[in-house]
Amino acid sequence: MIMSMFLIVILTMFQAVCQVGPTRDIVAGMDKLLNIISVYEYDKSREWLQDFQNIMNKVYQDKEATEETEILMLRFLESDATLTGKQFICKHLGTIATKKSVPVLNQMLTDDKTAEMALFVLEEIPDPAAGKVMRNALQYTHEKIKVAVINSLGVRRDNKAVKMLAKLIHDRDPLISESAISALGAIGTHESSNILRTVSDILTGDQKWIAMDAWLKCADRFVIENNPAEAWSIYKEVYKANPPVFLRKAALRGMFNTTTEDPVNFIAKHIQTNDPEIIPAAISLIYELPDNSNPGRIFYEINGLSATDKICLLTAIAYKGDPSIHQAVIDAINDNDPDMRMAGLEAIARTGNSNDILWLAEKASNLRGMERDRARESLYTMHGPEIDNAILSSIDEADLKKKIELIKSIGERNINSATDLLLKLCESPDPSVRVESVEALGKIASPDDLPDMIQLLMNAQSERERKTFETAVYLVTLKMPDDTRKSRDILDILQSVKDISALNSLITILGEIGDDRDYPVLKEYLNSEYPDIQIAAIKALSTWPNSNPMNDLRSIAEHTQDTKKHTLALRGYIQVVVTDNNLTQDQKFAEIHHAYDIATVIDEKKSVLSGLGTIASFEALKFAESLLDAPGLVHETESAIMSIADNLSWDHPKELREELNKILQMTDSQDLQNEIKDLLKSIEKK
Amino acid sequence: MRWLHFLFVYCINFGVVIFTDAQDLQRLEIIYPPPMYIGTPSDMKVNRLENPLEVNRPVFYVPDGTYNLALNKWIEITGEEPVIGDVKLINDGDKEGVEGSYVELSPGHQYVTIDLESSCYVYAIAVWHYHAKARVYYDVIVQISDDPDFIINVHTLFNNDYDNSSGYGAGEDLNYIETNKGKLIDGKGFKARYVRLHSNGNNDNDLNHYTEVEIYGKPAD
Repeated sequence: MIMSMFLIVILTMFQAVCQVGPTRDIVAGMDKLLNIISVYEYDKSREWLQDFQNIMNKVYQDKEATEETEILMLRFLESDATLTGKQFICKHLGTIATKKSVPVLNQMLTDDKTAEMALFVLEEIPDPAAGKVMRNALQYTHEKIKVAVINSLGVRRDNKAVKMLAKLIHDRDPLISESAISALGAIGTHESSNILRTVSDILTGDQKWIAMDAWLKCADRFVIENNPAEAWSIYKEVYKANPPVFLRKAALRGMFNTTTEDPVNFIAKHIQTNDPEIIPAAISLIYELPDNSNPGRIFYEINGLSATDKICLLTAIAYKGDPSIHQAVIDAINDNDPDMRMAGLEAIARTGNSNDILWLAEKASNLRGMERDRARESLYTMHGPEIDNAILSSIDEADLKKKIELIKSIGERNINSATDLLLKLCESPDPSVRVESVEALGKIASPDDLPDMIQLLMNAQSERERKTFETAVYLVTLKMPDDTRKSRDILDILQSVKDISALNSLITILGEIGDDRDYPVLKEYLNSEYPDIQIAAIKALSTWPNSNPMNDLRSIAEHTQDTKKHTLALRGYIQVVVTDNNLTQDQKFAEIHHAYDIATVIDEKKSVLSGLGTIASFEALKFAESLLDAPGLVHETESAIMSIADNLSWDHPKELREELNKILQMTDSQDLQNEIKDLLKSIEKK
Repeated sequence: MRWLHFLFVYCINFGVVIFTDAQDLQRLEIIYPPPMYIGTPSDMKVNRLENPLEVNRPVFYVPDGTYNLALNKWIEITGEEPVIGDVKLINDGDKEGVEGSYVELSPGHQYVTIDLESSCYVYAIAVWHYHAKARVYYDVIVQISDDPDFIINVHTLFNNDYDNSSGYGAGEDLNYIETNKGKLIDGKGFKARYVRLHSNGNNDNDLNHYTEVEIYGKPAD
């Protein structure tokens, strides 16, 4: 036993010794930072901020460091540090300040420059001493600071200040008077509530409503303190006093939250007031009803609402998912008022059932614009597994237009269980059903479905379908993890595909996937015996995510006699060079220069100049300068010059200025001269 | 024959009086959607902008039997899928500037290609990018061709890419502000199967939008 006690003592001592080091480091770090902050001004760097926050995080976890830091900060506040620095420190002192800080803060209250920052800390100190110095300050501070002290007493909820504040309600200065009223509301005790009740009767004009607003705050406090009956009587009295609408709405909401009456009845009663300012507020309370309140009866009980209020009411009741207004929603969808129709189409998403599916699909197929979008959105978001089942079982009986909407909804609702159905529908005799099913498959199919989808692609009955399949298959490959071979299912069958169109599609998809491991496969097709396949391969490599196909595309552009292949390969060559960020600017320029040399017609040279304009190098700029006299390329060359110059202007302003001045001397183009002058001006500003 | 057709339509639409049989032509009647904004747009700080106050669309004549060839035809877009809406909205006949009527394509340079499914004479193209507010779409290029790759027999009908950023040459046409009347472009009676419309964002954001594209013409055969 004695041995155990001895061990505990030793361990505790060891732990204490271990803490001395870190605490000392924290305090030393804080001391160092306070020295830096002592000269801080708003226009100076705050690069120390991150270090300060890191140290404060350590301070909060170390009691001894917290005490030391409070002392250091108080010393800082007494020093000749800048006011900005003191203000910053006060914000943080507030989080750790204790009774020890009160004397220093009391002193600061006597100075207008430091009083407000001191109040900020005093508000946070729980010790009664803090309240005491604030109440004392009410005796000697002048108006501006007095208002701040009153507000802080409110924030502290200092009940000892209630009597002093009650006297200040009658101060000649309206700022002081109004602050005192608000502070009494914030304190929220029975005493302050009684005072506010009395002054609400006495005061007139705006001050009366300020008092009522403060009184409502007392009521809110009573709700928090589990005294709803007293709160309710305040809310009711304020509501009956016919205050401005914002107070009536606040009072109404308070009454709703504290009433013992059935909340649905309460709302219905207030909607029936026929008060155009209160009806929307009462309707908005429906959103706060507990689930399963079924407020639908309000809709049928109340007549004579304006169209706008009726729409708001329908929307609110539908939001609560009350199926009892289903018929009202259907009527709204068929209403002549477009706003009512829109509200109905939105409401059906929460109040509809599986019987509405076909009907809603018909609406989606017949409506246009926003109403069609809303109908579709509701079809896509109606809740419940029975909705999915209803969609799937309705497809067979639906006519063509509805069928298409239902298929679309399968994709949007992500009904994964419908993959087999969609694969079947891809073989439908109707081409629009096939295309829509393929699009939906692109959304819901998993990589496991790729072999089936590729097989269907190969049997596609039109170019349109094939292209839709290309997109769908590519979208499904995107669902595969990054490190997998997304092209594996395509590669498995690629060699066996004989149909040129199908092969063309598969090559296109490989190009979109852009996996370097597939590059050798695609490269083979550049030498295909079929020109269409060669072109498909050139196009696939033109969208490659890096410049690996650069040499092959360049070679084709250099050697082919076929105009189409030449232009496509040249465009692809420029494209992959321009988009590969791993190439240096010099490498890019070398390739683009080469592209210019092999461009045979003026349109191709224009494409090259567009690529040249993306480079940031003086060699590129000089090359563009050399083309200023090239026939048929004047505007494109000038644009390239300005684009390159713009790219260089941030990193090489000095050299660029010299080069631009040279161009200014040699060009007669007024447009180019003006653009160069504008750029030179902006370089000066930089 | 086509060049005669071209000369004929060109001369009429540009006020050149020549001997002609006027009964062969009809006024192109485009149904405009309701305007979504009113008034003269404030200074948009867009270079080479057509003065909206000076835009006065002349009556445009097209041969009898001309109709909108683009309606519900197959359209291909660049980028994977539209950001908002469906590609079919581009040529569904709905030109309203409201949500649900336009498609939003990816940012940057993008194009849409409409396949007219057979070779056609194209007399006019009307484009509404987005007219819910006064906007200017950049680098608008409209090309037609018989070649789906737009390499051979390509005619550029409109190009305001003045700095050649899209690589199809520096365009001479002016930037313009979108309105409910869209942009009417002379098709010059060229024969083509494919129509490609480029754009590169707008003065509000980098995205590209299409509310409707109408291609007025007649099948060639």
